[in-house]
Amino acid sequence: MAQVTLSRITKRYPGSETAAVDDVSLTIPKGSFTTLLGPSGCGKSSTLRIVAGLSRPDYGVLQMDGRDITHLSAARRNIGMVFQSLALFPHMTVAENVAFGLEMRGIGRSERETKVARALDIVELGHLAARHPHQLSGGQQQRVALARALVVEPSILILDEPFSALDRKLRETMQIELYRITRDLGITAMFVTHDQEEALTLSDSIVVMNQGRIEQQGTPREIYGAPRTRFTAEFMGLSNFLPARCNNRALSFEGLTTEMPAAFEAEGNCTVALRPEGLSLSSTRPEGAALKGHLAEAIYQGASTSYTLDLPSGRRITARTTDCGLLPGQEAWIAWTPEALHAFAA
Amino acid sequence: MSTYFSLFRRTGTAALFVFLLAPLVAVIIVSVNAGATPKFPPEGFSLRWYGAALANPAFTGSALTSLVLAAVATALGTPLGVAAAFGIARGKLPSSLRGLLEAIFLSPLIVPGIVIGVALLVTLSTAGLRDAWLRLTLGHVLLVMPYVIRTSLAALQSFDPSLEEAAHTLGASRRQILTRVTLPVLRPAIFAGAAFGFIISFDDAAVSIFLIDSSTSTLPLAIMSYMQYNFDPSIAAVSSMLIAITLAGALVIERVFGLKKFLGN
Amino acid sequence: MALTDTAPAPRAAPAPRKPVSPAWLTLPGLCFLVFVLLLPVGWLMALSLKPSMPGAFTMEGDWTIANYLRFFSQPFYYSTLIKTLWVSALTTGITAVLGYALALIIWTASPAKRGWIVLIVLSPLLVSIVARTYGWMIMLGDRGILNQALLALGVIEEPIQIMYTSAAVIVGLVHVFVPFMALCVLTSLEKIDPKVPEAAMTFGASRWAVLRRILLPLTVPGLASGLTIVFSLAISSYVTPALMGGPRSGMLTTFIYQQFAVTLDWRFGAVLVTLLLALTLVVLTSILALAARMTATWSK
Ligand SMILES: Nc1ncnc2c1ncn2[C@@H]1O[C@H](COP(=O)(O)OP(=O)(O)O)[C@@H](O)[C@H]1O
Ligand SMILES: [Mg+2]
Repeated sequence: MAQVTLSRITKRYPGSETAAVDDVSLTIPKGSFTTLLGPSGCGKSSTLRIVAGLSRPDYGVLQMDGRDITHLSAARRNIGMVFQSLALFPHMTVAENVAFGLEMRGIGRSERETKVARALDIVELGHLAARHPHQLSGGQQQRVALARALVVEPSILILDEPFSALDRKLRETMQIELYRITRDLGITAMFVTHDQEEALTLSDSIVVMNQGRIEQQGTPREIYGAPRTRFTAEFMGLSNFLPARCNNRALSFEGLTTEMPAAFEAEGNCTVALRPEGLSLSSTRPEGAALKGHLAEAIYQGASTSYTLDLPSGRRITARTTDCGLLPGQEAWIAWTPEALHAFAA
Repeated sequence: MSTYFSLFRRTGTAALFVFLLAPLVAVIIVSVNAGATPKFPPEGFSLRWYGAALANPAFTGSALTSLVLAAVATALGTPLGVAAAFGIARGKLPSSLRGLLEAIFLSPLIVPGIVIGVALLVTLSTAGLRDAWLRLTLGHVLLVMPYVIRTSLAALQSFDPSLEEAAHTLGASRRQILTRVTLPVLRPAIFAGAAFGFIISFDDAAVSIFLIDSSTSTLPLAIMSYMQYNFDPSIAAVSSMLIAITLAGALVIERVFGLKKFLGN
Repeated sequence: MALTDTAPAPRAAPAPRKPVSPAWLTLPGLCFLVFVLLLPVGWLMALSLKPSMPGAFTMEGDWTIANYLRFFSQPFYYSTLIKTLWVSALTTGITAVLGYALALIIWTASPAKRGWIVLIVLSPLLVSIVARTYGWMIMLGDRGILNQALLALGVIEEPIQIMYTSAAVIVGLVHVFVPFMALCVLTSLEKIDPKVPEAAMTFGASRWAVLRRILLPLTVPGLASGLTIVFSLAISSYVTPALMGGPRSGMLTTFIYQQFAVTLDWRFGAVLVTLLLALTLVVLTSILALAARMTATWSK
């Protein structure tokens, strides 16, 4: 296992105006599971491919345990990579697929067989070693790809949206499996996804990317609980953005002034977001900070009901709570739990 | 209404199948005819014409020529075609140049066989090259190459580039990637193109007719020239053997890749 | 690689070594094609502009278009062009109908039957053309199976002459080309969602209307490639016209054979070759252009 450091990595594809990877500096500590999260086209794969050695940065340095590997061939970086298309060799059996990396490292047959057997045991595929990839289900193919990447005892395991082709149920199973295996083996992993739930489930550390740049890095708790920019907030499922002003930790918006939540920093003009799940509605004024609104719409969704409210300023707010018995056309008071209030600059 | 339709449909289907298979069946029936002329219904069963065909040096010699020629042409045309397909697919050429190259490489499929034969005859004669084997080999490599290019190109276009990247990250060198991953993955397509090219070469008459000489002939031309003066069932026997070999080959190909994919264009 | 403990100084990547482009791999094949196909064909076309002289195959003599004038001034010559065209057109038309029907049969067959139908129907495609043509000669000869059957049934009193007519040539060619056409159409049919015709039927469309209004327009690309392939194969076919039409089949290809192998008037023969090539190109491009226009509105 190794620590991987990216310093000011920049990559611009020929013929493109903007950089696909723009001055990215990042450390992936030994044994950590780090996820690049961001919308499609934000440069996640490009970053990953630079770490894997499949593409060269125009600028910047890549280090592994302090060693400069920027120009080292992918073949000699000792990485294990799981591709989005899985890229299983169709003409080889499961065992041959898994053995390929060992063979390329010149490892003898008997040692190879032991290691392949162990890797297949880890992904619970020992009984299918003689099959060809096309004879396996999607989930089984996924495990083969994982075993093939793990068997070489890579310094870093790299996964590019490996589960995006799977249906939801299978994806959740595979996520749990991947979590178990990486934590059991203490693997350093770099994972790419555009699915924030997947990132929150799997990661020790999440790097949110936007247009080739790092938007925010932190633990899942930090990223979810305290997004620092509107982009991250939106990406983590926040909505109900309202313009606000912050003056010496006094936060005012929609004619209301309250205390700035501790996790946030801002001064002057800023934006407030209210997480819809953290809001509650009542017909009478509650204690503490609350906004008054006109209930425009109530949509029953089973476990919760989605309410749309018009504020006096004309802005709209959505609240998702248990059924509160209010009907469209009525006035309602909107209150929130402390964690539901977010604030960030601009 | 719908029963009429299905009756119409069934007779139509049957008629079409009869049309497609009748000449082949006729050849086989005539080949086991005991009499000296192709008669229908046959005058008794006999394999004598198979014996006669196999004893005729005009057929056996030319069959050997055709086999060796097809094998040599396939052996030469396949690497040329695979290399060209790699160059076209992987060369990162501007699309107009790429289109031009593709058109040039597939042009032997468009140029009539007889034109290829005549053109080679005239230029090689002008250059003083009159060896039948040389002429035939050049002409037949031309026949084989486009089929290999077509199937290889199609396979390269649907080739998942991450297969090579996966091999690379697992420690394979460029050479190992080529020999252990890329070529094996393309092998069915290359084989299909080569097999098709072999059959085309073996079956060709139009290109070869100008390139043979008095001592070297191919099987289709030997059959054609025999037919000019004889109409006995030994031709049926030769043809039946060709049909049997081809059908056996088709069955194998069907098992291995699926015939339709193999013939598809 | 040097080991460093300090934070690295960012720097620009060195200019990468330019690897040899794989495009060069086309070179051997390209040279081969140029020297064995393109130059010889060009040479032959140039030869057509030299005065006709039986036995001569070199480039000497003045440039002239006399050979072309000769071809187009004598009905005996230019009729081969016309005959080649109408025989090929008729062949292509019949092949299109039969090939389309065959493709529909394969497309609508149950998956279990399908493999067998494909094998039965398509394997003749691989069988030697000489062997197949011989089969037709047995079927259609004066004392062939067809004549004997018709005589036995009393439909005719005397054997009818089929061999060595254009009809024989067309029958032989259609047989060779039907599987090609079926394959081309099938490729297009397989891209159609089977629910589309079903949907049309639920709107009350008859089977005929489904074929005409839905399947036919959607298979134009396959049909067009089938038509081009069949037409160009038909005008350039040699074996079938030579065997079933006889030496005087009146087709361009058999005429070319005569000029080069019998009369040895290579320079006049070169005119025929040039015309055959020109004809092939014109037909190919016009059918492809037509198909492109017909599908321009809905395919990409
Ligand atoms: N090989 C390439 N050539 C040119 N542009 C590319 C290439 N790969 C990616 N890009 C561009 O770079 C940007 C980032 O792409 P990518 O790293 O694949 O994003 P992500 O994986 O986050 O979806 C996109 O705008 C994409 O179009
Ligand atoms: Mg990506």
